[in-house]
Amino acid sequence: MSAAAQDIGSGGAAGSWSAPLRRTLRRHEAKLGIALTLIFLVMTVAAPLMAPFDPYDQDLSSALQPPSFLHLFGTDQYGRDMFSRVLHGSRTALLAIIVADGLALALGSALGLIGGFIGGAVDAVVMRLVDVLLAFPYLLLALIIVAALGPSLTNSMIAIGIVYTPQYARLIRGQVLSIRASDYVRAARAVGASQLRIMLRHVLPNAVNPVIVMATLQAGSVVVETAGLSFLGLGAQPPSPDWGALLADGHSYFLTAWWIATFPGLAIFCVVLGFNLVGDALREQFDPRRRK
Amino acid sequence: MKAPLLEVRGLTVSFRTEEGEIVAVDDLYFSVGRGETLVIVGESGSGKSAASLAVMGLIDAPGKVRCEAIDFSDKSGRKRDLSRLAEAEMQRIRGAEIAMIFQEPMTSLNPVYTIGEQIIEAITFHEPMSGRAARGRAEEMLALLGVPDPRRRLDAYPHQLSGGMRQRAMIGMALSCRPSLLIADEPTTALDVTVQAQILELIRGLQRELGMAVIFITHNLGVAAEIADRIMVMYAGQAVESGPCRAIFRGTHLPYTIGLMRSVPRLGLDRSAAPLPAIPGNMPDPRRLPRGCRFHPRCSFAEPGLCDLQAPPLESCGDNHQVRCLRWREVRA
Repeated sequence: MSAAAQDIGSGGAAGSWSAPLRRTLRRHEAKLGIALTLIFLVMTVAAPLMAPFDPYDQDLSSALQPPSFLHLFGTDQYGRDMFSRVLHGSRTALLAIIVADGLALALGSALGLIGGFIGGAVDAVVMRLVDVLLAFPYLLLALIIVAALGPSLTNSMIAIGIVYTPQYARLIRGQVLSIRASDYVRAARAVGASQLRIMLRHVLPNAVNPVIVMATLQAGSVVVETAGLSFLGLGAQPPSPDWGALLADGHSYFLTAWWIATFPGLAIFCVVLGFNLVGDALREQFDPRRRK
Repeated sequence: MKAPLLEVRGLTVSFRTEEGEIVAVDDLYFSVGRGETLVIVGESGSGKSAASLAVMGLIDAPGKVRCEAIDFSDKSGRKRDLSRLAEAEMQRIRGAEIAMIFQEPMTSLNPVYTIGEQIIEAITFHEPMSGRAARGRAEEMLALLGVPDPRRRLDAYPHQLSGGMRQRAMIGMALSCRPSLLIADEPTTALDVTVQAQILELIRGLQRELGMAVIFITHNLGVAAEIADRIMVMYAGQAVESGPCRAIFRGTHLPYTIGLMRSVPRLGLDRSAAPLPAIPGNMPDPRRLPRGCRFHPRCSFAEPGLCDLQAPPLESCGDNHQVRCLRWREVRA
């Protein structure tokens, strides 16, 4: 209570009308994030149960219909129900998060651990490789990789996984470098722990907190990037209801049938917002200055 | 004299830096007998910690260890040169034969595991034992260390314990496999004075009970007087005095040790009469050691033309008592 009162005292000085709104949002952003993320997860699981229509069923007689009670999000140029397609699209998004974010996490952790723990020439080679990857703009690098592998949903996920690897590698290497110099690692060595054991049992568990935060924040970015590749025709191929592909479908009808592109766009927006808010909340939770 | 437990001969530890090589420990000889307490006294930077880490084989690159031999007789009575052992062999020695505790009880325990998990881990490294048996041993250890309610403390995380309790847990971890040598690197420095006394008493009690030898590193002469059988004084990487505790406190012949003793504050000292005498100046930069005796720029006994030109050797000045000073015959406390 006293914290809230202090908040009002300091925030109210600006006298801006948006201050109370911002304060409410800040207080509830974690809840909002968790709610959005949960809705997303429920969507992915329950899509076949919740969807009123088959997402692939064409019905040209009801093409390009605006939102109504029958078609909540309207229909596209082939008369497919957009609500059902957006629902099913969430599954591709989740798959992208699991595969791409998971791949980046696994590759990046391995590289960061090896570089940070072995050090020396190995570290130099690994980190220069990471620097080279970091030097490219994300989407450009993803485009190059997909172009090399051939356009498909799987390949676009692999590409994005590779693109996000360097950030994990850097984060984990930094963690490992500071933890391996810590007193408790020295103490563990002094009782006879082997290098491998120290790396897996003492260094890794102490390095995970910021990694969890990063994985959550990256989940949102992964959704955007896979949708981006699909939008460009390099990811999910039609008739798959990937959100990026839906956007691509709808953008040429935007002036006459705004709903085709708008609802998938909103879905992407909500999922990214949800993961970012959860990530921020986790970061605050894991902040050592707040630990009791 | 029977064969010592640990005999270090000609130990040199150096670190390569961008401004050249820094010699932290310079040609050091010392030994510790079974059950004996050797106290290594020195200011920060005198090389006392580097020497003990070298014995444990814990000097990492860019540090470099050279020596004639670090001979250690293990529990089966075999004499082994620790400086020539492979890392895997060394891991079997660490914790089981030689244990070490550190200055910072606050950070020397892993924050993500309970005290119990960490002690049990140390036990199972060296002795194949069921989880329950190891837990029993860990509980015994904490009880021996005077930790109240040891069974519950096993499940506590380090941040839930006070500094003194954490240092006890550290000691428990180090001693859980009954090593024959304990290296304690300033284990009481970060603790309250009352807790310091408890931990010292504890280490002494355990030493008697387990019959282990202790190398105790400190900059505190009071602590040294309390527990030492023998004392080695280090300055700028060299041993400058070594001898039985009594001989050194009765009558040292080394200006540096005299300076150290005079600079210890005592109760009842008249503050208005004179300020606490301090040794002027600082430990020399290891990259620019003074010519001759390394202590001569700070020494009130230094003789121009002698001490600033000639490096003193370690000379015997009594029974088992050695000093590194050219003028030791004229020096009296």
